[in-house]
This record gives sequence, structure tokens and C-alpha cells, in this order.
Amino acid sequence: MGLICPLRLALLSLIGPQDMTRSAPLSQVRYNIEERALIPTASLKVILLNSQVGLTEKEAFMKTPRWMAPLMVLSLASLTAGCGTQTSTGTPTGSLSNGTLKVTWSQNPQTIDPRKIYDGEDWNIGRALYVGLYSDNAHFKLQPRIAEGMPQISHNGLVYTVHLNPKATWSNGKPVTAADFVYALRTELSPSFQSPDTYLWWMIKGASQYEAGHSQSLGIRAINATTLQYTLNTPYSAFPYVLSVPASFPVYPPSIRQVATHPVTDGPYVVSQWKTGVSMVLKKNTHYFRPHAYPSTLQFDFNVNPSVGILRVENGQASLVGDGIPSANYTSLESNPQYAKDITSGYSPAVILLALNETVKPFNNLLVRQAVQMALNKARLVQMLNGRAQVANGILPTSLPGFGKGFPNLYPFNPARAKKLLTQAGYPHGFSTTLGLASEQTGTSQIETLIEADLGAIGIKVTAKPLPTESAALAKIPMMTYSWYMDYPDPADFIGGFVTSPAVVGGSNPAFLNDPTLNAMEAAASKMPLGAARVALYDQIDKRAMKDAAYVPLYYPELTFFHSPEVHGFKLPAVYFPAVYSHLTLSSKS
Amino acid sequence: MSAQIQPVETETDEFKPRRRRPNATFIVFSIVLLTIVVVTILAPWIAPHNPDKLFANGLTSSGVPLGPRPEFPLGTDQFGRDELSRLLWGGRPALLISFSSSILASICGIILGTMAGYWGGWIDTVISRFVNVLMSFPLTLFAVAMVLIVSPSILNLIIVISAIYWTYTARLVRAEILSLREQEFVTAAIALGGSPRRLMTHHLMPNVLDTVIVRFVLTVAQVFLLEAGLSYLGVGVQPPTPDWGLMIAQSQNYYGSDPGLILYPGLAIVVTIVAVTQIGEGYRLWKRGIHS
Repeated sequence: MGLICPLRLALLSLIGPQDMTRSAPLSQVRYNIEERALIPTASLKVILLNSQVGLTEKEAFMKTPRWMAPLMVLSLASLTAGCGTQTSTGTPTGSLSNGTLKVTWSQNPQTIDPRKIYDGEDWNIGRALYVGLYSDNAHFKLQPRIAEGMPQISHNGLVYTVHLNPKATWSNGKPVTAADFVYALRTELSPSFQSPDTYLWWMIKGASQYEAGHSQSLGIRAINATTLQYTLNTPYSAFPYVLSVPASFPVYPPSIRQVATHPVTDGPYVVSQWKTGVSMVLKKNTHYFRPHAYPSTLQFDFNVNPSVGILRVENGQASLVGDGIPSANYTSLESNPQYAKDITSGYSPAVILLALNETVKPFNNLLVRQAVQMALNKARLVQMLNGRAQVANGILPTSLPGFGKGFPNLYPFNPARAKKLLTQAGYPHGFSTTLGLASEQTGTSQIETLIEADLGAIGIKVTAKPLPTESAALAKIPMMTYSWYMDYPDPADFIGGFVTSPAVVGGSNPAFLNDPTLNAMEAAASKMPLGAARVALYDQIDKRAMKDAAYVPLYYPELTFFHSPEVHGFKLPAVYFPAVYSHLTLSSKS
Repeated sequence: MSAQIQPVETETDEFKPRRRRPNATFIVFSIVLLTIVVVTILAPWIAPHNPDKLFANGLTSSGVPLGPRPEFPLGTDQFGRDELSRLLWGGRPALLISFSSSILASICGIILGTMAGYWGGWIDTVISRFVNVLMSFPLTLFAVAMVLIVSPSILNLIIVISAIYWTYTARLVRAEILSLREQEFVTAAIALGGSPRRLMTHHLMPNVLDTVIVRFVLTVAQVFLLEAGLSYLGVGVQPPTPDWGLMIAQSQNYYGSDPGLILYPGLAIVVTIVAVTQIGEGYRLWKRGIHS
């Protein structure tokens, strides 16, 4: 989630609040290549979509509206060869089996090793398999899980001591010990492991030297089997929140070879079956130390277009669309009284941005960056997203307690003023530039379309391209869409996470914003105790970052999810959206 | 005494073959295609709006595309752009790419096919093997890979597609030339001292022209379909340039709520391809003197 975001979560931004449709064209590519029938007509797409819902070719045809029949005939007539049989990838028609929660995703999980969990789906599944010391509840409050109570903090704010619940066990019945946490963090930060989550541990004493392979000393130790101690190199008042992210979860050392495929887990579920790229089945962990009623089986179906996922839920073949509701389906679902109670929406702290690379011309010019800020009609963007977003004036989201309200709009939409700024900057006729997108397919997101149109109106010709995978090439992209979904409920996660993080190649600061004053302010704020003064300082940091204009906050997304009526207890969690599966219950289908 | 040589009467007006006229299929579909071409060419003048403009009133307050209305005769797309204007503009890249690629592919195919057929030997072996290798790749997959390597743009698409499709023409021309070069008029031309270049350009190529024209028309249809497919997959024409294949890709999830968004470009593709293929068929029948 939060950290993630450079490449993966920007995905979310490209499509709408959670519209992942464009991010998964690979299945479509595969589909069309296999069929050797590149007939992109309405009729065939309907068949394709219907067939993916689990219907046979004949049933899919029957479900196709009658008015499409002539078009289908024409389309089929134009096929030359290779018009093979449709391959249904859906699940068989039938009612949900009792106790099985079926979730569709448009993407694939990259890993289930908590030490490497980075992307949205991975977080979601990781949370079903593991529990850590703490967890954030829906009200951003830290809840002890394996920890017994909140950590004991030394007077200098550098040493955190956590006592573990002795009842916590692994799925094989062995107790979870402090040594398991130590093993997990030491291996996660080891140079050879190359975890994408190491940045989360910047405050741990000796972490940078340990990561570089220059030292074996690391600020974590097991005092005894149930007592764990972290030592920081600098006070960081949000540190307990870090102990709630998946990267802080323990692993079971004796079976570490299976950790990425069939791990021994300490959470509500264990992996029963995983077909890479197709599905994953999780079964209830009978040794879970916090037993309560929740679905006995979780089934994830991957590479499912969210619109197809909606159809599956409507047909009773799925319980939840993990990607959220695409714009194409939102209005019809929302206006249907039958589904009123099956749609859950809300704001989880997140911001969708446009990052302007300060190291690349012409965005190294403040006037150009300001011109871009004023040229974009964010209200139009929100309208395109069916109103499922709030216009962002600053980086810190309004859903983060204490932030957003009354934040000044430094750059109101004013294309004429933007054009003048461009002229002052020496670009009276505009310029051409490249927009990096996290999506494999360009042309389908609201953000991209708005940026191309609005910047085109002031003379900036934008060509959108998928982001390169190499860090060096990524660093040369003049501007890119970017999103940041909260790792833990603290402004330091946003500001320290990307705004003031090191402006280096391969870092999480794609605008390469490097303001020493800003960095110093963030360093001071992160050490302050939680409270009003800290909030006020982060607010000032946000304003100063906005004056630099390297990040164009576009909107704060509203998350909307569609689930079947059999699902109960669905509410948006603080970070692990769409749901904490062990908080849900299922009723039998009537 | 002088003898006047009388010309031999070879045919009378009675036996003179009637001039073949184009058949109805050819005429009707030529009109259809011509209409499509003219409309797309005139798009800048006849389109009601700028195809890339996001209209403030182009979406409902809840962000839903508008249906047909006087200001937007075919409604708007999900971004609030005029659908009719995008439809009119959307045929331009497809037609440009399909005709340009087909012309380039035909020229290359004629030249290399004639060389292979006429010279034979190692030239024929090299060209034929190369053609076989190229044709052994799955067409769409190969095109996607090549376009991704050179980056998608209209010029690159034309080059890549030409580089693939010349093989079909070349193989056809080679086979025709192999047959033609054994005929007497070629032997006579050689006996009269015609250079190989003259033989190929003045005697062989003109005789394969009919075949090439039919193949050209089929190529146009196939390239049109390939271009639409590549754009649909995101490796063809790049946004915001309107393109029929791209329009379908952009709006595919609206098949239920606003089917017109995929229906209009889908129909445009189908009608164009049917017209082109029928013109090819009509031309073939016309040349055979069959009136359908």
C-alpha cells in the first residue's frame, strides 16, 4: 500500500478510484492472441465478458442483447481464420458454497512472504495469513495482536520493549517467539534479500550499515521468548505504527524455504492451494490463537477484469470484487436499489498525484511547475470519477485525522494564468513532454486523458507511455502519475515516505524534490510526540512542499466496493482494503 | 508488277470481345469505401467538435456519458468528448496505415518476388527462405513484439506492418513469375536482346499486376484489422489520437451501460473491412468477366 506506490499503486490512480480495468490488459492480450481473432467489436466483447463469467459459449450468446445479433453476424463474417472455441476461465455456475468467500482481483500477488510484501494484493493476502504485533483499526487506533499491550518506551524514546502473547502459535502449533521476529527482520534487511520494504526501517539502529553489509549489529533483539526489544537511532513517535505493517510480521524459521509458497503462518488462514496467475485458496488456520467466526475458506481468482467481477457477484459466483467498482459499472450499480446495501464506500487516506521531475527540463523551472499546477482542472477529474473523489489541494489527505480542512488552494484552476507562467518561463509556444504511466495500456484512464487535454490547452504536448522498469530510465521520466496509499496512519508515512525521502535513483521520490529546509522540518516533526503541535508542523511542511510545486496533488480517492448480499460485516479498514477477511461472516444463500 | 499485301482479317466487329464492365459488387462497395475515405479525410471540416476536447457539459453531474442529443449527435464518451467527432477522426489513422502499409508491402513484394522468380538460384533461395521464416511467426504476436521494440507510432506501424505483409505478395508474385518466364513472349524478348531489368519491368511485372491488385486489396483489409487490433491492445495508435480500435479499448467496460461507445467504432471497422474485401472480390470477378 503506501510505500508501494511508485509503480503498483499508481495503477489505481490511472483508472479511477479503484478501477483497475486498464491495468490488466495482459489477459486480454493473451485472449486475443489465442483466438487469433482481433475483432474488437461490441458483440464479441460481450461474448468474451460473458464467457469469463463462467458461462458456456452458447449461454454467453444467449445473454447477449438481441440488438447485437446483426453486428455479431457481421463481425463473425469478417473473421478469416482461427476462430477457435472460447475458453471459459470462470468458475462453474452455482451458488456459493457455505463458508467460502470468493474474491476477484485483476492482478496477481507478487509474493506472500511478509518480508517482501509490497503491492496492494500482497498486503491484503498477507494480512489474511499473518498477524504481527499490532494492527490499525478502522479508526486509526493501534490494536495489540501478538503484543500484550502497547510497547514500553524508554525515556529517551529510543528503546521499545514489547511483550508477546504466549498463546500466539504458528499453524503447526508451535509458539510464536520473539526470536521469530528477530529472524524475520534480520533476513529482511540483509543485503542479499533485496526486500522492497527496507525503507520502512530507516529508524532502526544500525539498519543502514546492516543493509549495506558493513555490520552485523541491528537494533532488534529477543530478550526472552516473549519479550522483544527494538532500538532506534533517533526518536520516532510513529514507530509503533510501523509494527503493524506486513513487513514487521514474523516468519517461522524452520520452514523458511516454503515461506513464499506454502508458509507456516500465524494468522487466520493458511495456504491450501495456489495456482500462479489463476487462483489461490486459503483455509482456516486451526491453530489461530484468536478464534472467532469468519469464513472457513477464502478463494482469490486472479486476472479477472473488475467489470467481469461485478457480473460474477451479480450472478452469485463471487463474493467481492477486490479492485473496487469501475467507473463503467458504478452508476448502474449505485442507482439499483437491489444493491444499495451491497456497496460500501469511504475514504482511506490516500492521494493521487502528478510528479514533476525537478531534475529534468523544463520541470526544473519553478514557473513551469506552477503552470502545470494551474492548468489542470481537478474538479473535472472528480466529475469523470463519478464524484468518487475529493479535489486535493495538498499532499496530506483530508481523511487523515487533523489534515486537509482549510488547506489553502495555492493553485486554483486558471489556464490563462498558466499560459502566462509558461511564457514567463521561456516557453511561449509550449513544449513536448512524456507522461509516465504505471499502466501497461495507455489511453484509458481519466487522469491521463485530463492531463493530455488540459496541458495541451496551454501548449504542452503530452505523450503518455508506460513507465520503464529500470530505475535509471525511470529517473529520466519528466512527469509521471503517482499515488500513495497509507501504510500506517501518520503524516510521516506520506511526507517521509516520498516527499522528503532521498532524491535518488531507485527511491520513492519520483519528483526528486530535495529541499534541505523541508527535509529538516520533516526530521524535526517525526521526532515530536504525537499531538497537535506535530500535526501543525506537518501542515506547514505540506504547505512548503506545495510551494515547490513538484507534486501536483490531484485528488483523494473514495474507495467503493461491491459485495454479495451473503457477506456481512463489510467495512473499510484503515489500510488493508478492501477488507480484513477475518472480520467478515457469510450467510447461507437463500 | 507489284503485289500489295493485304492485312489478314483476324476478327470482325461481330467477334470482337465486349469490353468488360465492373460488376455491381465492385461498384456498390467502391462507393461505400469511397464515402468512408472521403468522410474521414474531410473530418477536420465536417466533424462538429474538436475530437480531443473535454466538454464541461459532456458528462452528467455523476460523470456518466451523455446519450445522443443535438449538440452531440452520437453522445459523448466517458471522458466527455464528442463521440461523432472522434468517430469521424478515428478512421484517419487506420486508413492511412492500412493503405500506406499495403502500398509499401506491394511494392516490396513485387520487386523481391519478381527477382526471386526470374533469377532463381541463390537469390530465390535467400528470398524464399526469408519469406518462409517471416511467415512462420504468429502474425499478431510478431507485430506486437516488433511495435513494442520500435515504440508505437503511426510511422513505425506502417514500417512494421509493411515489413510483415510484403511476404504474402512476394510469394504470390514469385509463383506467377516462375510460370511466366517459361512462356514464349519472354523467350522472344530475350532473343531480341532485352536486358533482365527491361524484361522484369516491361514484360513480367505488368503481367502480374492483376494478381497484385487483388492481393493489395486483401492486404488493405487485413492490415486494417491488424491495426485496429494493435490499437485495441495499446500498441497501435497512441492516445489522445482518435482511432477506432483504440476507442473500443477505451470504452469496452461500458458495453452494458453505454453500448454505443463500442458499437459505433465496431460497426465502422466491420463496414470498412467488408467493403474492402468485397471490392477485391468484385475486381477479381470483373477481370474474369463475371457479372455478379
